[in-house]
Amino acid sequence: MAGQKQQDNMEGDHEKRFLKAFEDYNDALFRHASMRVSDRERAVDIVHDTYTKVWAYVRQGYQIDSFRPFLYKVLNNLIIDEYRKKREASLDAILDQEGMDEGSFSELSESTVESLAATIDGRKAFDLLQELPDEYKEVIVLRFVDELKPKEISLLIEESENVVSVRIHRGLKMLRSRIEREEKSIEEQRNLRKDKKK
Amino acid sequence: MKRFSEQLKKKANGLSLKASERRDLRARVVSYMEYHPLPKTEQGVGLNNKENTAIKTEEFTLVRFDFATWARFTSAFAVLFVILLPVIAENAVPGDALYRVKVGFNEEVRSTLSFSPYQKVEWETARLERRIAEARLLASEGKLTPEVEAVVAYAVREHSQAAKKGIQTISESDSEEGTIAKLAFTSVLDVQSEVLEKGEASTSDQVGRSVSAIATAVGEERASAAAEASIEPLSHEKLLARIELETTNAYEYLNSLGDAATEAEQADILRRLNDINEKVSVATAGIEDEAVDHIALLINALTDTRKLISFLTNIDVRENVTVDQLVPVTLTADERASLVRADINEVGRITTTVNGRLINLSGDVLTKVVSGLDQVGTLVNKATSSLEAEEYSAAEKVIGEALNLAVDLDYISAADLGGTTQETTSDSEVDNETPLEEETTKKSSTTEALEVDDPSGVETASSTDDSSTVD
Repeated sequence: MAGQKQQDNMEGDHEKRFLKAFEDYNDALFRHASMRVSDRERAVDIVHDTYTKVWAYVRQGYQIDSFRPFLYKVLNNLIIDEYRKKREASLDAILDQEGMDEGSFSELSESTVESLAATIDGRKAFDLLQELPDEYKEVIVLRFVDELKPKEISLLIEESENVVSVRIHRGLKMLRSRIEREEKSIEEQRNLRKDKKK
Repeated sequence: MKRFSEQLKKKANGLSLKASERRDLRARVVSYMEYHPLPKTEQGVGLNNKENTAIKTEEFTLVRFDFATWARFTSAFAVLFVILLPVIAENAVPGDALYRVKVGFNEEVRSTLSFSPYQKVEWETARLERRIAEARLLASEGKLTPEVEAVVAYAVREHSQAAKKGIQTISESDSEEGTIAKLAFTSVLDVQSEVLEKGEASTSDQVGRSVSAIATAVGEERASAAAEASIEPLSHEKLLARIELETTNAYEYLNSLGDAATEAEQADILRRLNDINEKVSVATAGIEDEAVDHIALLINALTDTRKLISFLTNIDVRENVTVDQLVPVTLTADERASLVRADINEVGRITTTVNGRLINLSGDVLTKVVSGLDQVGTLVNKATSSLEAEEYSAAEKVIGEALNLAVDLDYISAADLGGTTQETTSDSEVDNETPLEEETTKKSSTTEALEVDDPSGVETASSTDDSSTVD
């Protein structure tokens, strides 16, 4: 009887825990979704769908020890579905274009990524993030905005840590490349104006 | 990387849900949770717990409408009022709360299900019988008040008028069918009148048990129906068809009685059904014979069948009258002859006794008795002749006269001598005897005569001789 009562109490916490998870992570989830899909309303809908899917999961009787990674997992899948609708270029296609495969980046490490990130202005990177392919955007947001570790990201997107590191590196490289291109463009325009004044 | 991360994060923090957006999002999620609650094993303290105040939806109030419970209540309500209540109301009598349901709903619904005019007439007739049965039930319990009796009498008239109206409708399309329907209806009134008269005879002075008003109503309707009797000629085909239908129903009702009727009762009813079949056979055989009123025979067969059906289907009738009172047995020729012979033997026995007293009589009485005995002898001879000629009606009539005269002579002679008659002691023994038993009885009654008149036995031989001469 005591065991049954205890079980009843535990079962009764499901709703409380779920609602707490809503209160704790709704903003972060919205931010992530918004940065990924670039559409505010769509981002809200995706967050709503994330929570309803997780609730359906709880109704089926599954026990969720930690809501945060599970919420991110579901959110990420929904965003991927969203992109599939838009038919974004796949990672394989990009690899094919650049003539590389992920196996050649086995030597990539966190230090390499750190070194590259140190050379990029985060404020400018934020503005240009939308121009990146979703696979890169995904891992960069998860890493630098949501502050997930590479291992957590690998579990979330169901890829190896190696792939995660490659994507982060490439994403940062692309960001830097675009930032430099933009700065160069601005510089050229400034020089043109100077020449005209003369 | 820390600098990049901080800068990126700082910019990203500008992306945030507005308060209204968060509120709307929360409402949507909570609504989803409420429409998709956890299974009961999972609930415990949760959304359906009224003490839980964690969820507050300021935007709207959710009202739970339990369709399952509402559907269960509605179906239970429907079963109660549409099925159970009418069934329970069938046993109601005037004065009961459900009597209105019985009369106003159950019977009216059955009325609408009567599609043919004949069915309507049958149903109105059945309703009339139901009213009378209800009244008799109340009367048996001493609860039939004058007010209720008046209501029942009124209902009897109403249903009778409705039946007559139905008969009129039938007659407009088929006059023969209308006449046949009238015959059937009149038969039912005859039966009910018989039952009510018997009941009234025994309870007319008892409070709460008198059915005089109802008996009067039935009697009036019966007289009215008889007065309106059509003189339309009936065809034997129509009558035969109807008799066939009714006798089939009668056999089915008899079979359905099962153990409710004793073997003797079943035998009685079967005897009546055989009588009806016999009448039909005689009528059918005599269609070409103008001397045989085959239509009258068939009408008689039909009315007997209807009365028999009333007896079989109405417990109230069975409890108050015998089948013999409603449908007397139609004696066969052999039975009639047997009865006439029994009467002849009875007359012989009585005259033997009277002859034994002659020696003690004198004066006018002697003259009267001797003359009477001669008359009796003549009548008996006539009856015997008629019997031999198979003229049963004449034989029954003549022997009836002879028997009455013999009884008078027995009384006169006994009165003159200051003794008792023999008739009352031996009548019941004669009726059910075979010829062999009759002989024995004759001898035993002679023995009785010896005991009373002449203990010495001298005059016994002469009296015995006299009785054998009479036979």
